Amino acid sequence: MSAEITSSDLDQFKQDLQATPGATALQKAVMNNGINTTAENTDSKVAMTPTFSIELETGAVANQKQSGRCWMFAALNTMRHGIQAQFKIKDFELSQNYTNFWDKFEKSNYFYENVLKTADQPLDSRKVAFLLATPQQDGGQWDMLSALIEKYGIVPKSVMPETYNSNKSNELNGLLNLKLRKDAVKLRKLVADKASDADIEAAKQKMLAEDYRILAYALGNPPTKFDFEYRDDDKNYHIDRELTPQTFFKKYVGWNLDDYQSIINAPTADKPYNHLYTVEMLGNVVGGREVRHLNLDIDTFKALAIKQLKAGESVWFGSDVGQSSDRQLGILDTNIYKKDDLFNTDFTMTKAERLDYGESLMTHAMVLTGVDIVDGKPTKWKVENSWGDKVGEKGYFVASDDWFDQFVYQVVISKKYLPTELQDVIKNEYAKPTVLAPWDPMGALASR
Amino acid sequence: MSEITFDQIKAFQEQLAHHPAAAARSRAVQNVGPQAASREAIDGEDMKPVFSLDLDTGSVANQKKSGRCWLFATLNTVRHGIADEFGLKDFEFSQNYNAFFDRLEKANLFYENILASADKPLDDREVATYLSGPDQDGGHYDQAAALIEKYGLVPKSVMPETYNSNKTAELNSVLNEKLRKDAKVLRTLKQQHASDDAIAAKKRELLSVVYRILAYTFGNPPTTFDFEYRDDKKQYHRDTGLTPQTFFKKYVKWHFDDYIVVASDPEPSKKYQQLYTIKAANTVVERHPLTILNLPPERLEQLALAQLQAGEGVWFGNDVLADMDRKSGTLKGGLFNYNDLFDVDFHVDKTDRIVTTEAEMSHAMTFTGADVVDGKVTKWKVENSWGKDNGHDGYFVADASWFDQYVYEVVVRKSLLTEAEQAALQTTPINLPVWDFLN
Repeated sequence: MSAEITSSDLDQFKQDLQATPGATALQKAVMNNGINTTAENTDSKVAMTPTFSIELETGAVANQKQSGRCWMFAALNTMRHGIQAQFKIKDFELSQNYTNFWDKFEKSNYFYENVLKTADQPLDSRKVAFLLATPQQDGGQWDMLSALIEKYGIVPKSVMPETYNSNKSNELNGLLNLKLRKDAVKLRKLVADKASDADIEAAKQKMLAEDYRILAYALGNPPTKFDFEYRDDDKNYHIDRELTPQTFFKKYVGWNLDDYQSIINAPTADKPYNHLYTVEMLGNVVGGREVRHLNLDIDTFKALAIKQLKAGESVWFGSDVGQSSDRQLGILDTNIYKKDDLFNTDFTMTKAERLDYGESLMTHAMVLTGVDIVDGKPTKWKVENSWGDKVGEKGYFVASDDWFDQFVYQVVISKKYLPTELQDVIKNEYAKPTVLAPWDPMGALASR
Repeated sequence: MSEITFDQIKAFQEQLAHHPAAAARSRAVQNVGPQAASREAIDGEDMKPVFSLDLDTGSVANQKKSGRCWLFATLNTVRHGIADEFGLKDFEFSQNYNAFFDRLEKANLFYENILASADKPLDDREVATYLSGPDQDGGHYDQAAALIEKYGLVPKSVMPETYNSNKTAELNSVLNEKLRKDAKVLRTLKQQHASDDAIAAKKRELLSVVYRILAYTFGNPPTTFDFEYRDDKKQYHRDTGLTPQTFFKKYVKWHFDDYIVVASDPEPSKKYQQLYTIKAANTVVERHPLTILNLPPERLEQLALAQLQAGEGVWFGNDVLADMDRKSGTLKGGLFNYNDLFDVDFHVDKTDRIVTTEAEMSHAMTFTGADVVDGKVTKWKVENSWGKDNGHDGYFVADASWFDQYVYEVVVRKSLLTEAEQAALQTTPINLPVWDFLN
């Protein structure tokens, strides 16, 4: 056919449509009910019954509400599982607003530094345009939360509760991004006018003071000292006085964050397995921990997640939650919608093709808290989400093993479960990982 | 790189503690959010829906959960003829009919763009831009014009809305998945130096499946139909054997070529009195290309007013998300007084807003009136497409300051332009990249 759609093309398309088996019946179903409802597959609901051979003891799910803090909720969930077990406080939650405050503050500084670094490039260059498109957002990565905790510690939710703006972040984000873009213009101008380093630093300090004020008004003042008072599951009263966020983390979570490693499965040609990667302009704490992903094949990747679950530890993971999922039922299964049957066409793409062509990227972080192993093979996974208890099974989702293969991109694993040769890769490449472009799909979780 | 130190944090905390009324401000923002905490009055005399110039228009339409504002605004603009001449005040065209062909044409454009860029790597900025949104709801005026010129129009009763036209998310996801898969097929053919015939045959095969997907979701677009109606005086009419093209000619009589999109983009990289186009965004390949005349800001207001005075509505592109209160239908410059609330100067001028991508052309609506006091427009009457439960039966009020800051383009009759401006229309437009603000 020509570049333009001609009337003979249209006649051909109509004939093709009439020749499609069941077209008129299917058309009515889709026009009245939409694609998903029409194509939903009952077999999938049966297969995704929430029973698991390995299942951790966990509490009530959390709710990130209208914010993009899944990565934070998921990480704090993995940490609270230990507190719940060790100190017997079953539904205990850590303050997501506390880490949110410092994240947004650090991201503002990180943005200024990137603006200064790219000040010699034109505004419409791809890198500067990328930076300005989203100066900061709610999203983040495992290593970014580690960086925050290493610097600022952690507090119980009761000490710094949610506010209007942490639950519903769009107004604050709109305002803060407006401010950051305005500041970007000023900083670029200072560099163009050849201002001294001291002048630039002074301007930046003034900007940060304003950002601090905006965040304190919107999210509250982050506490520096507090008392922790609670009743445990056996109804015993406890009070722990004069804690700081840092001492609280040490005493109640006690993790060495160096022990954990982000593992990805990105089977694209540009990322050979068994190497360490980072993503340019992805981070929050300047001078703090940076993002490091170890890319592994799917079998090794999956075996590590199972090993950690078997040892009784939950697994933070990154995925594309919008694909093949029913939010209300809490099902994540490549079989849930039979679109190929409905439209009589083949939608299949490989995981690598989906990444290369922008069809899929990491959009959401959750926690694996169980797996069903039948005849030595995983069939489905138990997922702790952070969308409240009104979806799925009291907030827990079920992911099929095929969905895991196709749409799970990242897991965080305790290094002790890694074979020595992989531990060596991390040691040898940590200081000089392969740097991926800012818009790489492995950075997506933190940029939207 | 300079990191944040704890000494600095201490200094920031001290500054905050000394900030006037910090605790009270803080409580307000934490409890109700920055917008509700800082909103100026919305029911004052200055925003009253009374206009010295007020076109006689019908009831507003509803685009529901879809991004078809540009189409609704265009159909709202052209329906005024049918309202007057045929006595059909609340007449609505089928937005679903145009949406069907819009999505089909966008799929074709996507294939053409993918073929034209097949020699570039996948992570090239241009290719990545095409792949990031192969086929979405959004659009602009020339796109609507091209569609209507090619496919005509039909009354809403002939091709009504469906589940999917009102709520496009599921279709968008399926269609984009399919188009990205097809992109790989076409790039591979091109890279293997397949013949033009083989590529054309493949494209036709792929497009036929898109047609099927659209027919299932939106329904079959009619080719002939009968039009039966009672006019505003209760007279019965029946017009048989119409096609979408003859219906458009007979009932609408609109000449898209008589109009031009006028923008005011003050970026240093752009010139006034200059014509621009974005070739990669011309949805209907080889028809009614996107053409924008860039003029100084005051011309936008003058031309919009002149057209209203001549009795015609004005299609306009804007950032509706800025300084807007949906419920009351208020568009007021500085509606949210963040400066006072945070004691921070948030003001960014229009140029900086555009170059830093803070500005966004997020919506299209129609001006249907203006309040002119002492020769100056103080407020504008705006026909929206969000149903009649917002604003004044669906109509919004925009003040002059909102117009200055957030109206980025208007569609006006070429005959209203000055001679010099008309001469500029005859020049060859400069082609802009797909990611330009004007797209």
